[in-house]
Amino acid sequence: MNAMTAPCFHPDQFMLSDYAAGSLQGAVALPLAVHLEYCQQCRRETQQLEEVAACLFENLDPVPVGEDTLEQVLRRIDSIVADDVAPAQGAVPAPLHAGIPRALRSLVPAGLDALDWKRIGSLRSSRLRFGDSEREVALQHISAGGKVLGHGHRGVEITVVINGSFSDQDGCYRSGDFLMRGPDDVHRPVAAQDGDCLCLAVLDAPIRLEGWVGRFLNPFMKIRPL
Amino acid sequence: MSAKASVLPFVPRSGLQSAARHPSSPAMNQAVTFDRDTDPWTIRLQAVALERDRKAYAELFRHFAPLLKSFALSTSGMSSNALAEELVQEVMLKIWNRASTFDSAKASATTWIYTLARNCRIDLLRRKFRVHEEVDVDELWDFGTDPEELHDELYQKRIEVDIRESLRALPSEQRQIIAKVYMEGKSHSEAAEELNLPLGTVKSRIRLAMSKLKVMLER
Ligand SMILES: [Zn+2]
Repeated sequence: MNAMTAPCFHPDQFMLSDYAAGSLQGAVALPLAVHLEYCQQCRRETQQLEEVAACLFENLDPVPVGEDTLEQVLRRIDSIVADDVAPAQGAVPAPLHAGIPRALRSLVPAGLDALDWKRIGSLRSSRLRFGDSEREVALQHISAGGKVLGHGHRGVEITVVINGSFSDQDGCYRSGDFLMRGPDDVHRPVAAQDGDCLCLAVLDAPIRLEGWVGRFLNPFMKIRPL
Repeated sequence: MSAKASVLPFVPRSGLQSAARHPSSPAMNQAVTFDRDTDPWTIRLQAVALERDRKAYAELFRHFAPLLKSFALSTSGMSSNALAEELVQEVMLKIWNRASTFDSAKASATTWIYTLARNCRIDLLRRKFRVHEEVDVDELWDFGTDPEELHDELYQKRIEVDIRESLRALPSEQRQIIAKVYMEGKSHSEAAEELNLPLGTVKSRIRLAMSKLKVMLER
C-alpha cells in the first residue's frame, strides 16, 4: 500500500501463525490481510511461517490417492478453457477503490460513499456484509478532531487504521496499525486534528459504553453481523 | 533451457515423509541442504508453467497428491475420503492452471503448493459448513510481494534453509505441537484443549519452537 511509514502496531506472532496455517476464524483474517498490505515486516514473517508450514506439509505421511485420480484430473485439465486464472495482482484499482485496501474492495463494491453510514456523535459507522455470523465487520470514520465515547469491550475488538490517525491514552495509531482490544481495555479514541480517520473494525461482542449513557444504552447494545 | 522431465535430477520420494509421526527417525536428522534452484519439484513446476509439460506434471502429481490427501485427512472436521479426494483434485487442477503465476524467486514449489492447499482447505470447509463469506479466499490469503522485496531473494533463501534445518533439530514435543497447529488447522486454543494443556503452555512451547526456527524477527 501507499503507507508513508511502516506501521508500529502489529498482530502478535500467534495471529500471524494462525493466518499462515489458515486457521484464523471467520472475519478475523480480514484485518490481518489489510495490515499485511501495509506491513512489509509482517509479510516477511508470514512468508517464513508459510515455509515452516510447507516443511511440515512435506513431511506428512503420504496417503495413497484413488487409482484413477490422476486420470480424472488430466481429463478435467483437457476440458478447461482457462477459467481459473489467479487473481490479478497489483491490478490498478478502479477510481472508486482508490485508497481502499485490496482485501476490502469486494466488500465495498460501489465505493465508500455508496455505503449506508450511521452517525453516532463524531463517529460514522457502516457495517459490511462479510458473512461471519459471529462477528460484526464495520468501517468506522471519525471526523478530524472528533472524540468517540469512552468504551470498553465485552469481547475482542480488532481495529486496523486505513487512513488518517487516531489516538487514545496508550498511543497514536496511523495507517496500517493493527490493534486488538480485550474485555479489560477501556479507551476514548480521538481522531487527529488535521484529518479524518478511517478504520476497519471487527467485533465479536458489543462494546460497553462508559458513564451515564452506558448505563442506559448498554443493555440494548448488540453486535449485528451481516 | 529445455527442462525435459527425463533429464530432471532424480530425487527419491521424500525420505523425510514419516518423520512427523516418528520424530526420532534418523531421516529427520539427516542434513539435507535445500536449494530452490536445484529443487526437483520447483524445476518440474517451471516445466509445467513454461512448456505445459505433462510428464513433469504427472511426477508432481505422484509426489504431491498423497501429501495433499494426508493434509486433507489430518484436518479437523474433514476426515471424509470423498472430501480429501476433492481437495487433491482441486489443488492439482490449480497447480496446472496457475503454474504461470508461480515465481521461484518468491517461494519454492512446495511452499507455493502448500499455500494452494491451505486456501483450498478453507474453501472446502466454508462449503462444508455452509458459510457464505463474501471475500474470496485467495484475496484474504494472498498478500502478494512487492517487487522491491525481491532484492532480498538471497536472504530469503538462506532463511528457507535455516528453517528446514532448525525444524529438523526441534525436540519432538515442540515439533508435534507445531504440526498440530499447522497441519490440522487448529487454533492455539483448540490445540490446547485437545492436548489437555493450558493455553499458556501451548503458547510458550510454540514460542520456544518458533524462536528456534528463527522466525522471530526483531520485534
Ligand atoms: Zn506488521
